[in-house]
Amino acid sequence: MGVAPGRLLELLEAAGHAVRAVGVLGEAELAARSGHVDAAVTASEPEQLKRRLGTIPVAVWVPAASTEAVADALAAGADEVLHPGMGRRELLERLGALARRVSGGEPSAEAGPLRVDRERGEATWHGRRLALTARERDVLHELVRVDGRTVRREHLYRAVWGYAMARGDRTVDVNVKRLRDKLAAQIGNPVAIETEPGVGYRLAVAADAVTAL
Amino acid sequence: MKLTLIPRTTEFYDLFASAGRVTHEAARLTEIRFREIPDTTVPHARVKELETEGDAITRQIFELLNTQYVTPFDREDIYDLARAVDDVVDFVDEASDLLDIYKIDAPMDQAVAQCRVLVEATAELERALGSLRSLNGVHDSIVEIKRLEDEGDRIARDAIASLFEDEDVSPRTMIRWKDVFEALERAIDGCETAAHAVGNIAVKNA
Repeated sequence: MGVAPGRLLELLEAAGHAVRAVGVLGEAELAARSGHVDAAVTASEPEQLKRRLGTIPVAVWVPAASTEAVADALAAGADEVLHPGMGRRELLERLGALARRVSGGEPSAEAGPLRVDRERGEATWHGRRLALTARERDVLHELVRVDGRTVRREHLYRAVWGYAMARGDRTVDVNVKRLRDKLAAQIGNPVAIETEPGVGYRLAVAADAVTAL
Repeated sequence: MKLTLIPRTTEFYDLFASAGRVTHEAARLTEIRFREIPDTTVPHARVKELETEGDAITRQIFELLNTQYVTPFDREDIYDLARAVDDVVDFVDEASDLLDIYKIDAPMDQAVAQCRVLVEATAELERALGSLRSLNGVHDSIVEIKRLEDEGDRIARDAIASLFEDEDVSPRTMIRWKDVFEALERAIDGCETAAHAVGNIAVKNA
């Protein structure tokens, strides 16, 4: 049985969550600053909400579960998409999983023998700990997490430094260069951070390094 | 202070030429610092040394001015020019120092662009100061410095605007880079003030 949008608040409260309905973005931001917000649900403007909420994950409620609507919400920055077609249990589990991303830290990310665990604060190659700074590790985590796709510099900045990147700021490039140098020194050729000029960076892990596992 | 009757005008020319060289070198090193941070090959101490050298040159010009009965140009014009050139080195030193004070750990494209304009403007200033005896080519340098100052203004405006394009830029980034952009702009503006002072001399002595 599906969940009517008007009953979402009631359902979450019944499941033991503390829920607060807010009318404007500023109010959501204030609530987020209290430090007690695990996740946010919105019916519109996930991108703006995410910008205001920093690392807090945002789920988007779409009125109908069409492929288009879900894809649009994800493209607009949603971390999760909820719709009336979901049963109560699925909806609660999905929101719970979303909340765990912030309260327990994101799960570790892996690319072949390369593993980055933000919770434990370590990056390893074949189980051997890599000597990286926290920032470098966070940058690497973001690159590993997206599974070889290019990550825009602005996105990396937001994910690692928690703010919007000012135009012209080379902070990401400096940190990627250092990370690249350290990976080259500690791992060598199997792992490379490739540059997509004017866009961002992506991680490439040699196929034989992956299959050798 | 004793005034001497034997003119030592050559010394004025030499001192201004040295002031031009020091100013340009300080700008050149500062540009390297802004481009290479955080792993720059140029510590701020090297820029500071040039600033100290610039102060010493300015002091020598003033001393010469106070002891010479005959000067190559109006005393006021010499004073204004020496002061204006000294200000440029001070502003360059200030901008370079901000990199350390604010612990800036990555370049900003707009600041590097400002530095390039500053290097060109001080190169023209050095050329003009080295040509005070003949005044040959001085007018062209003044025109070029004015053009560079306009370009510097445009870059500075765009640079400051870039900090406010997104309301979620870190306050730390905004504070430190706004100060740096303004310091570099003061240095470029200072070149134009010095160029004006050269222009006053050129008009009276053409």
